[in-house]
Amino acid sequence: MTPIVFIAFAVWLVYNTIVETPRDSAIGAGLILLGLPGYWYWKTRR
Amino acid sequence: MTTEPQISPLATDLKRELTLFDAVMINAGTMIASAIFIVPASIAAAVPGSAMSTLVWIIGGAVSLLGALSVAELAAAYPEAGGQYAYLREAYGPVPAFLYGWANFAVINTASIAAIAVGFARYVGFFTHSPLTEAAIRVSAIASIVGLTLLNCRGVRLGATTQNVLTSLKIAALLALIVSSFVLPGGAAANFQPLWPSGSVGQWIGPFGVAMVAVLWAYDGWIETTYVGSEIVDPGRNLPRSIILSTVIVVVLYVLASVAYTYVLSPAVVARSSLVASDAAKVTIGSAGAALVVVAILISTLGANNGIILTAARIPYAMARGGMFFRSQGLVHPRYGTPTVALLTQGVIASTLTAFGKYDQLFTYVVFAQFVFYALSAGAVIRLRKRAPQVARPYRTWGGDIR
Repeated sequence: MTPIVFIAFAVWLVYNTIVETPRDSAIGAGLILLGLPGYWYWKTRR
Repeated sequence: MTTEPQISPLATDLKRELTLFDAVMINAGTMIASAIFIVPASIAAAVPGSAMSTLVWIIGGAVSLLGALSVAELAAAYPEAGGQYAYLREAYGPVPAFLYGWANFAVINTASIAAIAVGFARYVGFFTHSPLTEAAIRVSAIASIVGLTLLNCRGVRLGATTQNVLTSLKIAALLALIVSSFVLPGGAAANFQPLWPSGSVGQWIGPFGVAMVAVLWAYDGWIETTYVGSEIVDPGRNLPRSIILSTVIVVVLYVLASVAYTYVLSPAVVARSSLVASDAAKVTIGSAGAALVVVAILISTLGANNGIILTAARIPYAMARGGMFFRSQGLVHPRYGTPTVALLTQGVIASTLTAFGKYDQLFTYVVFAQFVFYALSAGAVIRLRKRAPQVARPYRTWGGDIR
């Protein structure tokens, strides 16, 4: 129950933020995904 | 004469030297920044009615506690550097973990440090003869980042002791504000009116949600001590206790503070206040009260940044140690025993964001991601109980088994 109730609130907050500021959230998601090339780089180097 | 032993910085690990008290002070100190001195006004403005706004603080605190209780299980089971980074890696694999670490390294933690440092610097202007210029604010903000970063490079004990002092002082200041509100003349029970806003319940669900978001952000920071998971003694016992205890302390303080402001000012006046703690203290203590609040905010923001700076550098450190980031981020200073390169890089990024002033913009971009990762961590409690049942769990949160 503890994790489930928390997840419900967290999902609600995230949904709320994305609906309120869709453009900002899209840019943010892009910024985070910019890390993917880094992931590939270190995965192959390891 | 002895010769200094040659120790490879990559062979040196961080040592377990933080106690339960240190961990509680790190977490509580990071949660309490400037919000509790300011944000109660926006809550009162969104939901007019003292009982209703108090309810927002209580429910927001309860939700944060549920998050803290979930993470506490993971912290006890995986007491590693990087904390949440390690939980995401164990539960979901390297990609979500890497993106989490990257987002924190590049923006989330570094922009938080910049924003809190600028908040700190703005209040410094209260004690100067003329208000600080924008340039002076940025210079003071960067000076605070540099100072705290160097201090935390010199040893985790020094950083933690600084944190203990600053968090103790900020809790004492908050308690002084709360007690003076109820004990000194100025407040009245009549100020709690109205308890509830007029109108239908359905009409207030939206505003309640808006207030709730602000409150959840005011409580944010309960994850912080997980980042230093590999530096806490007896982690199976101390990590979950520190996470839960610090969250309970902050919830109690926030609820009492919001009730105290209302007792002195009434919901309508709280809603209009630009610095609610100061307005309440002016009524009960007088003009010295306003100065007390500014000192409290200075201590509080400085301490919150010390907590973030100390802990957040452990994320790139953990990534590098796993071979998933710049190798140098994993270096440990042979004498000071701290991840100096990770700390200095973090300081440089935060200072750069401060100098260019784009930290708040950057922060609004990625702010939603913070709770995506929290939700993933709570999900990791359930997922890891199925996938890794053999891992010892010194603390088990209530209701983590979902069939």
